Amino acid sequence: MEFAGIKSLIFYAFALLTVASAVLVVTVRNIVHAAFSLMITLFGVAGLYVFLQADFLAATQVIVYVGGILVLILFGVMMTSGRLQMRIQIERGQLILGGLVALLILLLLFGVISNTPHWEGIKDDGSTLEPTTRTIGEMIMQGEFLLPFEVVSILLLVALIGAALISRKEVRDEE
Amino acid sequence: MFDQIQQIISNSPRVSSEATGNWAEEFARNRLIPILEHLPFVPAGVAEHFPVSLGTILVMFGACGIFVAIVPLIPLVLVLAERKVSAQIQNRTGPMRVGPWGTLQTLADGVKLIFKEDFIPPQGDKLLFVFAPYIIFACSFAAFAAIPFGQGILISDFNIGIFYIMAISSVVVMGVIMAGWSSNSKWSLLGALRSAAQIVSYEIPLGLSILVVVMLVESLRMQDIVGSQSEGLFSWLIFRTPFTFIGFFVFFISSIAEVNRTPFDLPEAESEIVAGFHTEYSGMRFALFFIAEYANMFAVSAIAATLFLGGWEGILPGYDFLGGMPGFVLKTLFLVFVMMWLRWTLPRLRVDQLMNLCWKYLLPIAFFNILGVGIWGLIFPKDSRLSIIISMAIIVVGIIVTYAVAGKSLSKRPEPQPSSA
Amino acid sequence: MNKYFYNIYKALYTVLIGMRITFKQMFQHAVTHQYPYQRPFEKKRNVRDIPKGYRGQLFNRIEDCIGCKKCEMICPVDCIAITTQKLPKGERLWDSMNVVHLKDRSEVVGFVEGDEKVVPDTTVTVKTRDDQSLDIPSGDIARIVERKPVIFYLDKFDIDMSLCMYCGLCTEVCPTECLIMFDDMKGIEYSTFDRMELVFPFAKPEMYQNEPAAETEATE
Repeated sequence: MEFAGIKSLIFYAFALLTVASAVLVVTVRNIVHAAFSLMITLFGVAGLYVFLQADFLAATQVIVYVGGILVLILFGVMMTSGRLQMRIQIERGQLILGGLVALLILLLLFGVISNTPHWEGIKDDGSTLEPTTRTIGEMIMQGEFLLPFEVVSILLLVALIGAALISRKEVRDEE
Repeated sequence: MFDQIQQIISNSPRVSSEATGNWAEEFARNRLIPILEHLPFVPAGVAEHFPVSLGTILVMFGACGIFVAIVPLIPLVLVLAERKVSAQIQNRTGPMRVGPWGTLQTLADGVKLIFKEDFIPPQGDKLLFVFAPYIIFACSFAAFAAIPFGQGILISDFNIGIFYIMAISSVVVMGVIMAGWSSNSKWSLLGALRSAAQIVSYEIPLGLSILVVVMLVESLRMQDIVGSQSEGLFSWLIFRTPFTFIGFFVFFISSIAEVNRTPFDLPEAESEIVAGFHTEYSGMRFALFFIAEYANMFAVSAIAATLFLGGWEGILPGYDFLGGMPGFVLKTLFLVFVMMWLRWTLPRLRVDQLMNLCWKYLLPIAFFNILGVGIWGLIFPKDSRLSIIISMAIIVVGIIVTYAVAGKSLSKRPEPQPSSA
Repeated sequence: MNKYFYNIYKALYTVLIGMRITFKQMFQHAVTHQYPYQRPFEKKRNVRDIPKGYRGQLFNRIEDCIGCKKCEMICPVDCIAITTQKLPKGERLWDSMNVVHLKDRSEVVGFVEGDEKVVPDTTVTVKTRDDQSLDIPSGDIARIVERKPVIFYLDKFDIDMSLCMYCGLCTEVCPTECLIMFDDMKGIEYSTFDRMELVFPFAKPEMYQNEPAAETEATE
């Protein structure tokens, strides 16, 4: 862990925040607390996106995940909270099996990371953040991601119409 | 005199439009560490080996400290302004006793709130109860970091400036839900969920009207947006196309709904749902909510002024008339005054009328704006005098025609007939 | 479809009308009076017509009080506190004054020369305390309150006006009618910032300093 200046410090702070709140999400008893720890985790991930030079994605992460999806999760949790305190009994065998799976995934991730080309640490040479918005926009609208973009938007449209259809009031024709 | 004040203020961390390096680091390197050599009680050699990163952290904390010291004064002034303005509208005088003409009233209120009992609902969620005002407060104030007050006067010139502000405003919803849930009261929860639904719904027309501006300016940076309005009154984005004219009103209405002001203040109105999600809060926590609401009001007015009314650019192209920081603050305060004016003019909307307004009226209008601006950008790719003249003409003619046509149909309504027996 | 645009137009138009009304109201003068410091309503003549017999603040003409303590006994809320010292037997300080009630519901307070009865078709001369003489035809007189000897030193006569409930019972039983309730502007606005200032002490120790002179006047 080399201390390469202020950027590393902030990076480690964000990483610690993300990991700690992720641990809290799965271990805390109160499910509403878990949802709010998820919020902190997603914030941390947004910070990490900034370090990956993805500024637009960081802001989108906050808007979509924290401001949209997490609100939905919270609505779900609060409306259907029959048992707020989850006292899950975990057997010893399940704990060992879960730990094994987690270890395997960790090894897999390490393998992926170390085999990634062009991977470098955090450069602390005062380089500025180039704006990615224009690049993303051009790739989506003019580049190779035009078709997936349109397909995804049609999918969202279908979901929207479906939700509106399911939740509307029945209009009965009065005779 | 304003120029001198502006000079003094903008001699501190200054952002140049070309390179967005870390201003804190440059400040630490160029100003702070050389100052260390001049301090009397610092041993020699510290200045050379002083790590720049530590200096950067110190400068950042210092800037945050100044920020936190100055920005909360804005809600203090706004609370008093609201009381005086609403009193004037209602033919009374507002607070007059505390301080000359009642100017120290907010301080007295703050002191009173500090002395109140700090009551945390015993069956509620203590941790969330404590955290909710902090989240709302922090997010309302974090939006100030990206608002340009003057030529070089802003905390940080993000590449995604306006998008960052939208992102931070979305987090306020979480704080509201937290506050409603942890109060352990049906009314608070209901008010919080209604407020959350309202804020989330009105973010969409808000974002779409911001999109209209960004389409014209072709950049998300706040300084670019303001810079494109630098040619006098008629290059303000509100006049540039008739669609941004409509977009300004969509933005303004959505932002009134975002800050939970009348006519959209169903979640927190005094006579409804017993003050909604901040019912159970008392003392300084309630003061935090209040301060956050007024800071949010100021922030969205500032954003509207930046996006549509030219930010810190002046009215005349050459001279700096009504420009710079005073001009910007004046425009923002004018919009805040309009918000207060609307509060005492309009009755409150019911929650279904609110949603109706958002999804059936504001959203189609916002989409129509985007379409219009797209077509406009095709017709007039470069802003010229011709395009501005045509847009002003369309705006004026549109207003006149709408008034004439709809006014006529207003007066042509059939007389109520007595029903025949 | 038309209705849609009509709704939009109507909404905007009515909002603007409302805003214009509110804006005009901003320039009207505020109707608030800063109460203890500005009392402009007193200048209006028809605002403060206080009817006769109005029960305002209590006032005691302490020189006429004979210290009978009837008011203290009858007060329902015990707001009057009286402490007296009795003179030796047979002595008296002075006489309380006559109160001449006229038929137009006004009073004249002073010494009636001569008899205290109302004899028709005569003129009654009243000598007031500030040495004025008034001649009142007896046809105008409703009744005359008799003089009574003052045989008590009044050490303390406190009325706590914050307790007083303005029933007027104390004024009804006072034999010399020295205890009155104001029915004009003096008796209605006496708010104070300190509750202790509402305890009115009426006893005046300095009226006993000329006591030997008063005694000679009494024996006159």
